[in-house]
Amino acid sequence: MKWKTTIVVSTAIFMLFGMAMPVLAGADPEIGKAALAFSGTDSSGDSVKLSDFRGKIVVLEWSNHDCPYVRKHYGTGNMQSLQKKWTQRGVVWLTIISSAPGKQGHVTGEEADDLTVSRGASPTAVILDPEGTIGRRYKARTTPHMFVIDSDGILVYMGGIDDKTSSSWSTVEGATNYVDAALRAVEDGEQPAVPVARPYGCSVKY
Amino acid sequence: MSGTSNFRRLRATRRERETRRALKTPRIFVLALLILTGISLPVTPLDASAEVSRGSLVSEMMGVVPGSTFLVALLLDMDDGWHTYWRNPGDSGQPPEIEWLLPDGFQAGEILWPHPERMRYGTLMNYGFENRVLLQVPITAPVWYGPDRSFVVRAEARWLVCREICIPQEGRFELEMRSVEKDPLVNEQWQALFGAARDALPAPFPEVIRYSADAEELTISIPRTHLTSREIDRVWIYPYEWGIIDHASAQRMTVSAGEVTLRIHRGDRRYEPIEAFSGVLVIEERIESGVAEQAFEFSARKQEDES
Repeated sequence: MKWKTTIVVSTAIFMLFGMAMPVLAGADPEIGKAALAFSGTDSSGDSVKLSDFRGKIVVLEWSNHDCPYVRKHYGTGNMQSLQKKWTQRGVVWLTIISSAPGKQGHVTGEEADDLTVSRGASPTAVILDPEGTIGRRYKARTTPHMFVIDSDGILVYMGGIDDKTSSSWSTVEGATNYVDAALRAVEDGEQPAVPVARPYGCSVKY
Repeated sequence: MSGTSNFRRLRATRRERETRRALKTPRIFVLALLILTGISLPVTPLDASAEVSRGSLVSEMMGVVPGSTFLVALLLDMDDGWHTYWRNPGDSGQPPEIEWLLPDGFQAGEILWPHPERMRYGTLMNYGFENRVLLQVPITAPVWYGPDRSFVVRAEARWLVCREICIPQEGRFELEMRSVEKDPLVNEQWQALFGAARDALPAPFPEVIRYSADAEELTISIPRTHLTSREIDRVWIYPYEWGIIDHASAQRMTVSAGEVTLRIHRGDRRYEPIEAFSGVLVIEERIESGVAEQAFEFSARKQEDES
């Protein structure tokens, strides 16, 4: 009985701290504030830090290639054309995979590179985040979940890639692409008209 | 138990819900009934490659009086561990969608959403349904529609089911019904299911709920005139809109003589002031036979507004 109570109490304390911590640390990503620093390893095994790209506009894209919502954007070529358009204009595009080992979307560096080739994608780098450290830091909840950071390192957009929260491929055409809009605004030195939108898709498989 | 009579309308206890699930009609029997009666003709879902859920279109009535409103529903049966989503799905997912193809003059309303369950996935929180959910939709037959005519209600539905992974499902369904002169004809096969689902729908909350918010926290004050503190086990709110609260946040409850207060971390839209805030409130109360759940719909007022 006593033992049980101890477990319950310590669980409760653990839960309390677990929930309170992000707030105390003020660690949530916030629009208009400096984007949270991170470092990780890319598909070639090289270390990548957000600070490596100071002075450049950075896009973070959470991905899981088997998620139907990710498949919508890659199957229609929507994600690739956005990557191509903006990386050609000097934007740094980081695709981040936070699926845990054994879970959907988890890939090795080699598999990640194969996916980049087979899908005709053009990210600057694919970051492997199997422990979910970067994902949790950014509170990435869905695949895709998108973030745009301006050249001063300020977070200016977070949310879904567009306004059509569906897995149907037919919804890509005619959608309002919030990431494209945010990048256009940032390029013009303006604030995105929509800085936050609902991220939609599969849950990140932490 | 005293003083709760206003609230204690027919609500299912958890135990009752379990019983209801256990009583689920065997599928072969249902199929046989469908074939025999010819009432419901579910077409095989288009995405049959992953059959982890089954959708069907069911009706509370077999015969309806022209000019009246009746309920039809998308009934979703999901395999163990799979779930679908509420109108606000929470941190991920997508709510089911139904597109109606009705005869001339018939009009479909919106889905009458049952209150969702909280489904935690690691640090994420989803709002949705497991096992089985009946998504009822009111349909109104035109006044001019004559009696003794048969008509077909068609629907295309899409719903997402997830367990560890997510699989979009879809189906095309049709339901043959007929018009009657005066006495509506009940569909005995589904009557009990519709009755139970209707009783569990959120009722309008009888008092005014107020809220105040800053960038960190949303505070909701729920008057508890009809409840004694001993009985309140838990109160949960489910906003209709995305981003108002952090869905995974603890909903910290304090109970005082006059009200129940919930404090919840703001969601991604914490930079925006909350102009309006509506959703569903679920009160879990301890009763002799377990925990009774009551769901209410509310539209909260800003604390400053004294109107």
